[in-house]
Amino acid sequence: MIWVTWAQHRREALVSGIILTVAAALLVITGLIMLADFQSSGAASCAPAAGPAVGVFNAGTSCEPVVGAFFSRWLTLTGAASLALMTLPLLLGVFIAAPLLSREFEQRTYLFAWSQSITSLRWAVVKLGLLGAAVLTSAAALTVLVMWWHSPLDRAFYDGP
Amino acid sequence: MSAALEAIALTKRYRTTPALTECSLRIPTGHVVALVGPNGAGKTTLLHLAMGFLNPTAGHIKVFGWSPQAQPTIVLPRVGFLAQDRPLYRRFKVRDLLEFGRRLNPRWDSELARLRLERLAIPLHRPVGKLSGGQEAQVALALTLAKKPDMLLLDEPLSNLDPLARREFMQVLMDAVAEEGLTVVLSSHIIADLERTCDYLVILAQGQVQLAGEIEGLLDSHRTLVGGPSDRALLERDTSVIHSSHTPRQTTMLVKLNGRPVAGQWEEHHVGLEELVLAYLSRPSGDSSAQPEPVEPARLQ
Repeated sequence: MIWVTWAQHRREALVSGIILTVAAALLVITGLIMLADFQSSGAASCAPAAGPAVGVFNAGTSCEPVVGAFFSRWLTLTGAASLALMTLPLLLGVFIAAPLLSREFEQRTYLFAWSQSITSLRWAVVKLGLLGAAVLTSAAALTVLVMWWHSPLDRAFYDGP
Repeated sequence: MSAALEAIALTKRYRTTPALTECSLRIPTGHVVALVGPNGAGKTTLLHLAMGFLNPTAGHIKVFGWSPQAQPTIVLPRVGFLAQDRPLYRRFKVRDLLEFGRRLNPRWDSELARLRLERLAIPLHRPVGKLSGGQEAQVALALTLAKKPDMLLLDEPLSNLDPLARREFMQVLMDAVAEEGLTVVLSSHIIADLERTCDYLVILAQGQVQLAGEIEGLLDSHRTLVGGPSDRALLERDTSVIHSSHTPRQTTMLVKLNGRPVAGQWEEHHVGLEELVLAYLSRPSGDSSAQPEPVEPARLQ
């Protein structure tokens, strides 16, 4: 049943995989550039390793224009990235995931699957379980990557790691 | 010996729409059964209940004595099912579908399926969606047979096939039946397709079995009578009138014989399968007077 699910959905898996890989590559590249800028512009030295947000408490000091300039350089990109990362799951869902299930019912192929020797319950559990696990794993990986990507900005302006 | 398929007061309603109403049926093993009836008669519902895809609203269904709902892991490997329109994963190559079947069926015979398909010159490396309609139907049949079932349930297997493809499909099916002694239930509303191949008839209409039995016996026990206006009461003593049509000069009736010679001036004809089915299907709804029960004495005067 695992092979079956894979065989049936490998095309969608590949397309989603490529889209997610491209997104991840873009995040890694821009993230490294942003991190380098964070270090070289001096914004990093204004930010304590942990503790209160620098941007607020540096008001009036020499750090304020440095952190402000760093922030404004990356403002457009972070805005665009947030929007893209919010819409990406929606687009994947609408154009890849939804047809994946609706096609099975539209073409009545679930009847073909149910005509084999496995129960419809097991069919549904394995299929939805595997697809769900794939979605959750990629979503979790993407989340970790975005947290890393955004960390210079977090360190410059907000509480947190 | 338990029946291949048995329904006991089987009822299925979709919300409020009845599909089967207290339907009772017993199909012995070893027959090739024509399950006929108009669209919406409940044929598909009956077959889906037999596969455990649906749960009955009331009553029971048994396949070789087991409940498809309660014992799916016993029933499913023993029954090959071909759903209406023969759905297959069209992006799969034929070879991938064989692998699909091998992984999901304990009694799978890939070699047999491969041989059957090679004999029909169907390329195993081609995606199913790129085959002709007839080839696709043959792939669907080969997959169903590769499951090595004891019974085949085929839901309108010949729909949307050209006459040549129909003939080839039935040819392969009947060869398999001859080789392996399967019980087959074939639903259709085209009787001509079934006439040569089936030896058992089940007529389903309005959610109930109107007639069931071996075709030979059924044809023997029914007659078409043609005559002038005559003593209908006398006729109803000797037979059950299933269907009658009248013109001013002539009356034509399809009757079920009750073991007595027919009285009166009637010209007697043997009936064909199609004629028999149409007569039962065109009976007014709710009229069960011709059920194979003895005629009540009250009706004799």
